[in-house]
Amino acid sequence: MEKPDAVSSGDRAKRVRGLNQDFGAGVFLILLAAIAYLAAADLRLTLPSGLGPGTMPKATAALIAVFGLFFVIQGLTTLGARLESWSLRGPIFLLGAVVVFGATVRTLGLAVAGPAAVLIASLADRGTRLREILPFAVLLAAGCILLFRYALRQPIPVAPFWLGY
Amino acid sequence: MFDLVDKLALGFRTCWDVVWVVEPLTGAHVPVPINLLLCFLGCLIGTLIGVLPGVGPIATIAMLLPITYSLPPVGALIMLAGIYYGAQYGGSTTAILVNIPGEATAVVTALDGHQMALQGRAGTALAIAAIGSFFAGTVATLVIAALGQPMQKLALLFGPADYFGLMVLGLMLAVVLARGSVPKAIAMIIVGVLLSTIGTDLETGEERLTFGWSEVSDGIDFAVVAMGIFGFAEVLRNLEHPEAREVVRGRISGLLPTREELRQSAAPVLRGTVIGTILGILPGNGAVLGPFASYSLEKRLAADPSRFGKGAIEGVAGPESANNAGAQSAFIPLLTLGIPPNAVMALMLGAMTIKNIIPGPDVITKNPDLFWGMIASMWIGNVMLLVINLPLIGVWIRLLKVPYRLLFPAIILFCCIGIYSINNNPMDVYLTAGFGLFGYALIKFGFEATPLLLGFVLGRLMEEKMRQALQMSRGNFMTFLTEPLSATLLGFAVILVIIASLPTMRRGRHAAFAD
Repeated sequence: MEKPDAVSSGDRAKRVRGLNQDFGAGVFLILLAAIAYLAAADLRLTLPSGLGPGTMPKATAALIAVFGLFFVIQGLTTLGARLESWSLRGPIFLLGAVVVFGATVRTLGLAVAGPAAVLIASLADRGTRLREILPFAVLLAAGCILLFRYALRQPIPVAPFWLGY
Repeated sequence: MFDLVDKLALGFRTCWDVVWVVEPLTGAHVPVPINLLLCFLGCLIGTLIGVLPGVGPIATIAMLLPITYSLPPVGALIMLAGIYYGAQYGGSTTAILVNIPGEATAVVTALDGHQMALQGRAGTALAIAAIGSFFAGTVATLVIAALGQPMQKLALLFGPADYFGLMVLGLMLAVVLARGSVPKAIAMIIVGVLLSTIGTDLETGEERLTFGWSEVSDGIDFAVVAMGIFGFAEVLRNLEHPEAREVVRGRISGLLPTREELRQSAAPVLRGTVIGTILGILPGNGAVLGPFASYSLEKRLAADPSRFGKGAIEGVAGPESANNAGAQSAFIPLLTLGIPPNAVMALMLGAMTIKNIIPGPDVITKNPDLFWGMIASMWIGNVMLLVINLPLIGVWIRLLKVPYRLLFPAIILFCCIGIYSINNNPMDVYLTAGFGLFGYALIKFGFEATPLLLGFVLGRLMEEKMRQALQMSRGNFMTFLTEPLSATLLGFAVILVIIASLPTMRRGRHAAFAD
C-alpha cells in the first residue's frame, strides 16, 4: 500500500514552515546537482559536429539545482509536511547485510555469505527471534545454492574453501 | 484482416518453438517448448512472489530481472511478461483474501472482494476475478495486435527532433497522470536522465561522471538501479510501516460461481474490459485509473448501489477485468513507440535494451517473432493463470501467512544473488546497496521513484535523438520548434504541465486519486 499523499492527508497540526519535507528535498537536489556538476566540469559542452558529451550532464544538473532552489523556497514560505525521521536500524542492518554479502561471496561462497546476509538483515526488524531465524537462514541458503548453482547453473561460488568452487 | 491472422499465427508458432534437450536418464532427445515453459514459469513465479505480502509487481519484476539475463531475448521477454501478469493477479489474490491490495490497481478489488471472502465466498471472488481477467486479457491482446501495425506506420514518420518531442510528451503525461507532486516528479525525471548519462559517451568515448570507477564505464546497470530503489528501499519503507494482516480463516469452498453470479458479472466484465483497455494505453497510471473508473461506473449503473462495499460480485468482476485489460494495453505505447507508460513498462524497456532491442517502430519489422511472440504469449499466459490460480488457492493462502520478518531477509538474499550473478561482480552488489540508500532518501523527502526510472531508461535515447536533431540542424536549437510535429508534441507537453499546475486542477487531481 502506498502511504497517503502528504498534501491530501491534510493534517494541519503536522504541517510546518521552514525545516519541512520540501526544504529537505530541495537541499538534497542541490547537493546532488553540485556533485554532478563538479564531476562533469571537464566535459566539453560542444563539439565541432554538434553537442558535446558535457551538455546533457551539465544541463540536467543545472535544472536539478533550479528545482532544488524552488523546493527550498517553497519549504521556507509555505506549510508542508514535517521532515520524516530516519530510522538507523533499518538501513544499517539491511544495507550492511548486502555489503557483507558482496564482500564475502567470492572468497567464502554462498554457503557463508548467504546465511550471513539473512542473519544480519533480520536484525533490521525488532521482532526477529534467533531460534526462528537461524534454521531459516541455513535452509534458505541451502535452497539458493541448489537453485542458482545447480538448477540455473550460475557460476556463483558455493564454498571455495571447502569444495574449491 | 488476414494479415493480422497471419501475424498472430507467427506469434503462436514462436511460442511453440522447441529446443531439443538430451534427457539425462535415457539419453534420448526430447523436444521442449522452451518459450511455453518460460511463460508458465513466469506466471507461476510471478504469482508466487506477487502473493507474498508487501511485494508488488514492480518489486517482483525488479527482483527477477537478473534471472532472465541469460535467456534468449524472446524467451526473456515472454517470461518477464508472464511474471508481470502473474504478480498482477497475485495482487488481486491478496486483496481478496487479506484485504491488503498488493498493488495500487487492486485497491478497488479489496472493497468488495474481501467482503465476499468474509461471507465465505472467497473462492467465487477469486474465480470471477480470474475469469474476468482472462476475458479482458483476450480482448486486450487482440487490440494490441490490431493497433500494432498502424501505430508503427505512424511512428516511422518521426524524425529525431519529433522523437525527442514525443519522449518529452510521454514523460510529462506520465507525471501528470500519476499521483503525487508534479514538480517533484519532473525533478525525478531529470535526476533519472542525469543518472543515464553516467558511463562512456557514445560519440567521443569519453568517460562521464564515473569518478574514475571502471565498473560504471558502461553505464549503471538497469537492474542495479531498479533493485536498489524498488527492492531495497521498499523493504526499508515496509519495515517502518508494518501492516496488520488478517488472513481469511476457514475453508474456502465453492470455487465455481453459480449461473446467476456469472450472469450478474457478464456486463461488468465487458464494460470493465473496454474502460481498462482505453485507459491502459494512456501514459502515467492510466492502467491504475481503469479499476477505479469501472467500480464507480458499476456502482452508478447498479439497481441497488448500497450492495457495493458489502460483497457485490460486480464490484470484483468489473474492476478486475479493467485491471487486466489495462495491464496489457499498457504494452501498446511501449512496443510501438518505445515510450514506457509506467514503471512496469520501464522495467520491460530496460530488459529489452539489455538484449539490444530498442523498442519502437523498428521492433515489429526487425524482430517480428519477438513482437508477435510476446503478444501471443500474453494470451497463453492468461490461460495459464486460469489454470495455475484456481487449483492453487490453498497454496497462496499458506504463503500469505508467511510473516514479513522472515520474508524480508529472504528478499534481500535473493536480490543479492541476482545482482551478483549479472556480471559476477561484487561491485554491482555494493552499488545496489548505495541505490537502496538513495531510494530511502527519496522516500523520506517525498519523491516518487517511478519518474526517476522512466527518465533513466529513456535518458540515453533522448540524448541521442537530441544530438542527432541538432546535428541535422547544424546546432540550431530552433529545429525543435520549426519541425511541425516536434513543435506540436512539445507544445502539448508544456500545456499539460501548465494545466496540471493550475490550483483548481491540482485539487481535481487529488480528488481523482483520493478514492
